[in-house]
Amino acid sequence: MTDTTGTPDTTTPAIPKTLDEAVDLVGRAEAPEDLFGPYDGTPEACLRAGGRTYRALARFLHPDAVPDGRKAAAQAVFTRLSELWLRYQQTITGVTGRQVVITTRKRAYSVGVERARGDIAALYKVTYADKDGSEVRALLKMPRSVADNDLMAREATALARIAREGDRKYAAYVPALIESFRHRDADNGNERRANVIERVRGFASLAEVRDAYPDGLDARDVAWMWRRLLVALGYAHRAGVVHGAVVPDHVLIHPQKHGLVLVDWCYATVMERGPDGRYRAGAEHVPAMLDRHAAMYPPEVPGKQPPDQSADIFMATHCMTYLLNADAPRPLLRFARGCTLPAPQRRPHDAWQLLGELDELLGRLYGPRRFRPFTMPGRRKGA
Amino acid sequence: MGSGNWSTNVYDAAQSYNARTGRSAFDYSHKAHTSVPRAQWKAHADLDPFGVGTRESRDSDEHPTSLAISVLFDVTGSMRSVPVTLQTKLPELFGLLLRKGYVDHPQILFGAIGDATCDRVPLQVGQFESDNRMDDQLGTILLEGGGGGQKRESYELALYFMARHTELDCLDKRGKRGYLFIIGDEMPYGAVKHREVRQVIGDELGEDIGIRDIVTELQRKYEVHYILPAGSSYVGDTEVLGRWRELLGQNVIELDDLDAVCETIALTVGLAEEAIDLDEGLGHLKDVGAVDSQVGSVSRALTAYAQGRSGALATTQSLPGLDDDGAPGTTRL
Repeated sequence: MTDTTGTPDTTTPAIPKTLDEAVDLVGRAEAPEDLFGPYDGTPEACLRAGGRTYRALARFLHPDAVPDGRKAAAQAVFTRLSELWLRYQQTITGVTGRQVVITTRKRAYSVGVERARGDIAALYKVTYADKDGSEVRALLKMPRSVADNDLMAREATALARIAREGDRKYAAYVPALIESFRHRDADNGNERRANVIERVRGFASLAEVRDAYPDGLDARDVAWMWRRLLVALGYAHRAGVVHGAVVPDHVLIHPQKHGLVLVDWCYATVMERGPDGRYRAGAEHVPAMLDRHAAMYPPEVPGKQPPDQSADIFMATHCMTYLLNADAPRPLLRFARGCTLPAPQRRPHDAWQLLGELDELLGRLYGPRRFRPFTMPGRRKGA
Repeated sequence: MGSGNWSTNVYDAAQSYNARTGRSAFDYSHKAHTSVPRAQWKAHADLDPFGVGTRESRDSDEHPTSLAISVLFDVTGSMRSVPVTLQTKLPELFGLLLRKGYVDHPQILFGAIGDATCDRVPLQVGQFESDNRMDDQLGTILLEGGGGGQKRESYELALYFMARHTELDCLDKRGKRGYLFIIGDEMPYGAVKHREVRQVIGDELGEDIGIRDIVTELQRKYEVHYILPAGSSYVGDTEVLGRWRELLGQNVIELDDLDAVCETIALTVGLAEEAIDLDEGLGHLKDVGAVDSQVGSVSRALTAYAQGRSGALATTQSLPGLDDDGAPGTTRL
């Protein structure tokens, strides 16, 4: 059979039909390629075909599947099989050393060092090959505890929905979800929901901003952050998603470019569309709260009432007043107070409309808008 | 629960014993129907959900990585002969999962769903078992054959029970959700009614729970699937299918040959566990002697499901920095 399509079928060895065949195949293999086929230049196809062979062999050789009398011998072969499969994956993705390679249906990710530790997740730097072969950097987000898998699934749902239903003009305000998959730890069987997320660079969280400026910021510096945060919220809310945890650690800004990204959508809830076509609170409440920011949450969150847009606006406003220095203009503080009333129905619900009101106020206070450079002192490059 | 070993031989022996002594496989249902007036029908003690606390799927030395798989089917009249067929076909499920290596340590629970607005026995739920006892429980399910004819049965009551009255080691210890298959032909009512919960399960709820809320809660524990089988009243009914698709998305499966129900469930689990892809799974069915029409039915039932599955499974060695018990800085609400 000639292979003109580039599919790896012709290079995949025979799938075993019996335990003896499986033992024999693994026993004879000197290199991973002997079992899983040579590398033909298409990493995903090779890994997919190799994965199929691996699973077929593992089904025969797994200690639980083997008759009692042959368990000990099969265990050794199974271990050898696992080693060869790992080496194959590492070879294919060009990774050496002790790095982990995670192969999903769509991509093969080389996992690098831990980039950050979030409240519930660990974030690892990963790279994968794009369709044109170029290397893409991204972040792999895994919950530290398996009890938090539902929060990862929540994030995947929220990001997918925003990408699908939101206005793409504002896509930069929310990180892109590249893939969501389940990960199983071969050593202990633990299963985690993993999200691969676009990696943004050169950003600092508002918590870091506040640490860098312990006396607070001039209101004119806060102004652009406030405006952009409302854009991020307006973008998500129009897609029917409430973020649910707009706290300083989750708002990232790019000082030079005046960029803003709202991250960590693990606490998001989906709203319901009313008969008038507008979104309002759905059925779910916010699933968890960050203890150190407890004071920034509106009462409906600890009260386990489903949030609407005004919950995000409430928290976003607190993020802004948290940044302001003691000289903040009183009208701005009054504006903030009007956004943080305890009763949700008395707060603003439309971030876009609120942005218009804020612009009007800023115009009255400071005149026409001008670009005001903002820098973060003493930041390490590339951090 | 869930200890013990499956022995195919013992199962075969029990079957032939039943056949010899003239007992049907559905002895309990048969006796209830023939010897007790309808007003006195009640669930067998092993299956009565009232006041049971929790049904548990637990790891043990024999079964260190248990995986909870539950199958609840509608036993109302609209299902016609379907429940009887299910009772004969479902015992094969366990063996099939094991033989094909899709799951190492399945623990299976069976249950039955009726209509709480008019049936004597609207809910029956057995235990998670990994041995022949699950067949005994399947045999003690009462096939009441009631129901109302309003295209709704009390599925929501079953969903409530599974959400609030089951505990799974696979989830608590390994973060892995169990599987729940609902086999039926009608829609759930719009809410879990607190009055029915008190009567049937014995819990005091302050208020009703919306169907969507209970599904969301349940999906934290289980991958929930709905199978609409051929031979029931509302096959192909777009309202019924549409309602379930609203609630469960792609996990709604139309099955045109009920004889293939075990194979369909097994393959669904195999696909979800990433033990196989659909072609491999269909190949396995041929290996175990399925006829072409059955393989075709399973293929039709699962093609869309297999394509639409998000969240593929990837397996690697441990990543550093995990398993430190997560988030001391957050409070779950």
